[in-house]
Amino acid sequence: MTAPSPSAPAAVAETAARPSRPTMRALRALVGSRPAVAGLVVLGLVALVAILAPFVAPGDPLAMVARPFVRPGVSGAVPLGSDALGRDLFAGVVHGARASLVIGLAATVVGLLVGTLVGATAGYFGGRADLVLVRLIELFQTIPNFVLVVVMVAIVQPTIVTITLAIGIVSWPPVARLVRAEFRALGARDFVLAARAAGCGDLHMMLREILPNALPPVISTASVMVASAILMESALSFLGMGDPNLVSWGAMVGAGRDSLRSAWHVSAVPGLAIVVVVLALNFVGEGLEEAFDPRRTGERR
Amino acid sequence: MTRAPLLLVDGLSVAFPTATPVRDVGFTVGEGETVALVGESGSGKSLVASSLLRLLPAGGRIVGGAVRFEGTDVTRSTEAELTHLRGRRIAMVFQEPATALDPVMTIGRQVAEVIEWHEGASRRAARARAIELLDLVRLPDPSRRVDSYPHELSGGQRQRVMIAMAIACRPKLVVADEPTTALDVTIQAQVLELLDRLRRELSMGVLLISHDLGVVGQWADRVVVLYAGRKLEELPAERLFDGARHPYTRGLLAASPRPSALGADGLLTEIPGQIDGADRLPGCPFSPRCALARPSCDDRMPDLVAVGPEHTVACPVAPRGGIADAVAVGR
Repeated sequence: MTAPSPSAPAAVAETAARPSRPTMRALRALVGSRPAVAGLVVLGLVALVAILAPFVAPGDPLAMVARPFVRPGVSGAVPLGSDALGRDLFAGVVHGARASLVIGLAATVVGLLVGTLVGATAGYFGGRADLVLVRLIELFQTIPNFVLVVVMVAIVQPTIVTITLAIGIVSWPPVARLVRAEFRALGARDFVLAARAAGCGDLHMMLREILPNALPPVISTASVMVASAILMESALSFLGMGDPNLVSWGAMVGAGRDSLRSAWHVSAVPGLAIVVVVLALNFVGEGLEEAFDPRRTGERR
Repeated sequence: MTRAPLLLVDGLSVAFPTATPVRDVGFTVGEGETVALVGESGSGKSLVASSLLRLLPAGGRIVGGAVRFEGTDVTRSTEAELTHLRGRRIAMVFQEPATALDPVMTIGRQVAEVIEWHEGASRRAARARAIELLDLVRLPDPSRRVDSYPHELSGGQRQRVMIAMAIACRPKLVVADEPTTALDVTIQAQVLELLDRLRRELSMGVLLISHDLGVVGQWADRVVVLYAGRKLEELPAERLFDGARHPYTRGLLAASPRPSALGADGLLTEIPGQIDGADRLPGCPFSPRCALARPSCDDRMPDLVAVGPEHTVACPVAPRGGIADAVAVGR
């Protein structure tokens, strides 16, 4: 090896291109997708409004501030109208965004944590652990999600924490299945064997070698999970099983139910907010899925 | 010859629920020595390699024999002892560098993590060592390349990274499982040269697994020929081309694409038949394909008999003479 290797010039040319993380490439692909960008913009605005809620709509959103059933666009004081008790619908939507986003995100985090833990354990170790955990996953999947959430919330006090946990608990099985499948597939790959041959322990293998490679499909699932968690919380509040001290879009839709024929806007305004946010999340999820798709980015995983 | 060898494999057998693909294989690797395991696909050479680190595929078990490395029997080691052994005392280089590197981690991290893991080095120190190692394996521009991802490297460069990972903790033995099969011929020579240079500089033993007799004859000190999980012959590499005795070894040599391997009709010689099912035979696994087989070959596996210095053959009818006769055997 005294002569310089003939591949050296090619290598120098290659280095000229800036090094790109696989995740960075996926992000670039994501930014190239129009629905995903639109979704991200909408979500960013909603998040901003939720964070700034006390400034955007000062005061208690549950306070009666106007005549009941003011239609949207009639009064400057209540731009989106008022409900049966004269509460400002604009303030409700703004403050309701907090509840929806917080519960949606927190429940997804719970679902991801439990699902990843179960799926990774089952997929990595296989054998008896796999058998037991897969039965557990199937057990949860046979119970209708929403019914289980209703039962759990009915047993304990409906607070933001219990609702979040209940939604998280029903949303982990799909994640576990996904992660398990990824771990099984990746566990058989050469680089995992190579890491084992290099003397790495189980935890290192799971966290450092396999998990980062298993994440892309999990991330795209996560955004759809947030959407379904928001829907679930809305449904729960619509049925009157939400946190009574919390303004939430679902509770607002439910409150407008009785006057649907005379004042449909009371349900429609918060309903529209739910539709917009859920659609945005689905667009982002779809964009992420496409961005991570190796056939699209030309990268072989 | 009085010192105990670095690695002593003795009577190793590996079994799966439905088959016993490695039976009674034994060989040694000395310090600073390159020993080649040769055989076609399905001969069990990779299984022998993974047995050394107890990394057999699911369902596989070592059912007999011993693997002594620096005096300890690896087959009896606990999982904790193995973790200490793997990567630190025995390292492995895999066949396919494209898949044996983690696609979402920079090559620098991958090399550094081995060092952090085994030697408890700090992140910064490990990174500096990683750059040194990448330089040692002659990766161009190592201080910049250290932050590259595997897909940004060529096949030969990836294999250099694999080798850097393997030698990161200065192991005493490197097991190279077909390290150049996935590479171009020109890159092959560079990678083998690199391995050989590192073997000399770090006085490591190298177990080279290959089916390429040309590679083996050039780079190995001794050659162990496997067929259907049995060791058929062991001989010094420099005697491989003109001193091989076993009909199978001769058949392999005759089937290598070289001018002398061409038959009278100008076609490349081949060994008739196939290896499938040969691991279930009670006698010599090669006898169904052997032109010289006698009925007695099928009764029991012939013993390995010394026929020269460091040269043993498990064939009672092994002919003497040069490679010219091997063509006749292969026909």
